[in-house]
Amino acid sequence: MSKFKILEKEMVVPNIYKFVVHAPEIAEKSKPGQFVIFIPDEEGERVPFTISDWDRDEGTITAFIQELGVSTMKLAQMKMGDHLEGVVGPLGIVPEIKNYGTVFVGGGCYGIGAVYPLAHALKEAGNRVITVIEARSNYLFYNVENLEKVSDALMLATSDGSSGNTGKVHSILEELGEKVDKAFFMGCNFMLMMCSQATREHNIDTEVSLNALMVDGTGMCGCCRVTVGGETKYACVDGPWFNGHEVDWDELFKRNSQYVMDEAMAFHHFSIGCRQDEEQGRVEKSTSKKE
Amino acid sequence: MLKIDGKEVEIKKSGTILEVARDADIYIPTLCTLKELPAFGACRLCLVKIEGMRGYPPACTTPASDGMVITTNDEELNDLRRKILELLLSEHPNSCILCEDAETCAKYRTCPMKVGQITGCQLCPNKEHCELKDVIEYLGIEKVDYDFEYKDMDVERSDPFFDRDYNLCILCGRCVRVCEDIRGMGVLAFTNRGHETRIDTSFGKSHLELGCKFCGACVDVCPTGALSARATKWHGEPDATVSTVCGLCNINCGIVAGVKWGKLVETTPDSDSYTNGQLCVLGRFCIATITNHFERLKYPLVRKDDWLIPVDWDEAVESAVEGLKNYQPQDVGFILSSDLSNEAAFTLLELARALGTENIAIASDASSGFGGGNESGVSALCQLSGFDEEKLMKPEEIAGLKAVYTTQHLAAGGIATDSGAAAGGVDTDGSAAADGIATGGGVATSEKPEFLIVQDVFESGTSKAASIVLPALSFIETDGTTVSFDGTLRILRAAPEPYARARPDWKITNDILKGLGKEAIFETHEDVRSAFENGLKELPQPELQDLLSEKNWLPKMLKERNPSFSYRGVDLTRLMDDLKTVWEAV
Repeated sequence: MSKFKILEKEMVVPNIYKFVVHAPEIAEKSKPGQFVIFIPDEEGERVPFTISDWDRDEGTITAFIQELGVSTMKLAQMKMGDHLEGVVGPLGIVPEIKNYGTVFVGGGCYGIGAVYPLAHALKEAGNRVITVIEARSNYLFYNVENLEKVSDALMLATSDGSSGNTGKVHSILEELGEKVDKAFFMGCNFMLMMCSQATREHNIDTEVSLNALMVDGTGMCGCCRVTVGGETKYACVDGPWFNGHEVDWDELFKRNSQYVMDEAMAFHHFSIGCRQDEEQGRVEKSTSKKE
Repeated sequence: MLKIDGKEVEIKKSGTILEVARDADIYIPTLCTLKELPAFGACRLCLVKIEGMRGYPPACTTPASDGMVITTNDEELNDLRRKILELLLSEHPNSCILCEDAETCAKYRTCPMKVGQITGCQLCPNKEHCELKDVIEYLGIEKVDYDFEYKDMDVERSDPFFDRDYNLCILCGRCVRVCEDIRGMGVLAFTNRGHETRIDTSFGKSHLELGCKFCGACVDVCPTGALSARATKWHGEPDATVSTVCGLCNINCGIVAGVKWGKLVETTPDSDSYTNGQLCVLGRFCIATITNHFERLKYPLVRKDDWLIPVDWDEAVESAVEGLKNYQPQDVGFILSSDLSNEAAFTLLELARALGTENIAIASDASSGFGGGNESGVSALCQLSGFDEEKLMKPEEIAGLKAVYTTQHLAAGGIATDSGAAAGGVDTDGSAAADGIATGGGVATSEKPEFLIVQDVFESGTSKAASIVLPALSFIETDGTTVSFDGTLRILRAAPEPYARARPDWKITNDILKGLGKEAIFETHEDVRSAFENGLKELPQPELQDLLSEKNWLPKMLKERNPSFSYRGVDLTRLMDDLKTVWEAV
């Protein structure tokens, strides 16, 4: 089998694609909370994704990819059997896994998939693991079975209340009524910020996996600079995990919007029309429902 | 005279209650009406109460008559409307409307999400223009009493130019009606019945297969984000808009150019123009992409030791001046692109006159159905400048001269007079021309000109073979005028900032005139215009009043013929994959 072959690719919920990629060297060394960089094609950008699972025997890694721009659109158009141009990793510092007592693990968007190895490791270290995942609506949850296996309690929060719990991870956390010794969060920066604000009020030690713009992922380019506790850090080599109470969020949002023009204009130069459906056919025509 | 919400309203012209209310600046919520089309009565949001009439008739289908006493806005009506809207929202992703963090989220997450499938307002490319949102705000919806059901249909992204996410569709039918009644195409239809009603194509075929011409009218009328232009949906609200006309063919449709970050981010139809808010695929989807294309000529180039070297403008102009001085008038020729503005063409003709040459050719686009962007203007100006029609040469004859000044690419498409017979020295794919310039009729001239000035917008085989390359701004980046096929002088307005170091055509030629120490030097584009404007007015005007008085004349015309997919001799399908797909289908 050749390298970086896409062995599995499926849209698990709208916008989120599960990729299982053949990368034995990376699978061999992967640890919870680490990430890889995918390069979709020869001209492609390098895009970081959290390693959401791995299989050392099969030599595979799993990542949940959210379509959010041209490069992820390219990835979303790739098919099973295609090859990625490159995969770099595992990258990033692993958060400390030990018995904290009760840990709270929160995930949103890609984080619903990405928190799994961390929750698993924390559970194995003897913690009581409370996992809370959030989505706009019930139909956007995935990976729930896996998370159930590694959580002592699993709650699903939705903006529209369709899961039974109205709200977000941070609102569930505030209403929890149980002492939490440590919290980990993965999801968009907005969710990380809201959750960090909530844990600060309850003095809960908090680590968040920041989403900074990244190029090489190995500490060379400096693109992923973040200010944590007044110090400049590189999200790629000093992180991605940082103390959520010390992150300069306003700066992070500002830096992440630095290339908003180039990101929007890039759509002029990459078209996907007529490439996608040849193989898939127009299977799920608009009149038919999935399932 | 009738009464709406206690206000005396005069019926200025007969129409529906909705039209009369709108004329009187009274807002009645609606999501399905379209100004250009008859009422449809699909959304039921415009329900009103009329004294002496039973029930709640829709304002959009009920004719207004004298003496009516109408209520459009009270708690009972708004309660009804809220229920109707909540039903709509039970199938339109609504969680962002209900989300407790909505305000903070909008404050922090200002970057567009650029998703493939839209599952909330915050992710939607249409969030600044959502008509559904306007009605939600008017009615103050804060809850939806019905369980949400996501339709879970695949986003249709396999056709060129626009995406279709029917999970957002509210079945207002505007797209179906505009496609059928205004464009006369009938690509879209309602399929199935009852709860399973969908917007779709017949037999589930692709838009391409059904002969869709990708005019984008459906995208423009969609009140939600269900239909969206793929390349131009994520820039957000433009910083500025400029009303101008398209310069890709000589219909010169009215467009509104959206500018952001100094760049042209989109072009949409101008409903106040003579083309009544309709465009073709070129005007709607191509102008922004080609304007920002990486194959634009960026800076002046001068050939040194067989290499084209970037130089500053002074050096480029001086090289052009010195080069032209080396040739006798009879050895110099000019090729005018029919896509040039009047100002560009006129200045170039001034230069030809100053040099004393009579070797002029117009590279015409007419073979494709419509003329180049300023076909009529360029040929009228030739006459006005004393170059009579019968004396004009063919581009391939000019290409055989020793010194050539061309304003477009000389290869298939723009210059080839015999269709399909393009070949020779200059490849259409833009690779370097080794042995001369391909000319019309498939005959390559045996030698390339000793001295070739290329003043153009895009890189091409011709620009790569040039002695001097002068990067010009396109019609959307310069102020000027153009003469449409109806004989009307129309204004071209510069919308985005100039691309790289390119300059307006007239200014480049004017600088060369200056370098030659000649007269006829202009300070502004208005100066150029005033030099030819009176003369242009005296030229005969085609009789087209009958054609143009019909509301849908443009779609009708476009149904018969396709505009040429080239600009200044460059095949635009080479620059845009999606356009190529459309071209191959038509």
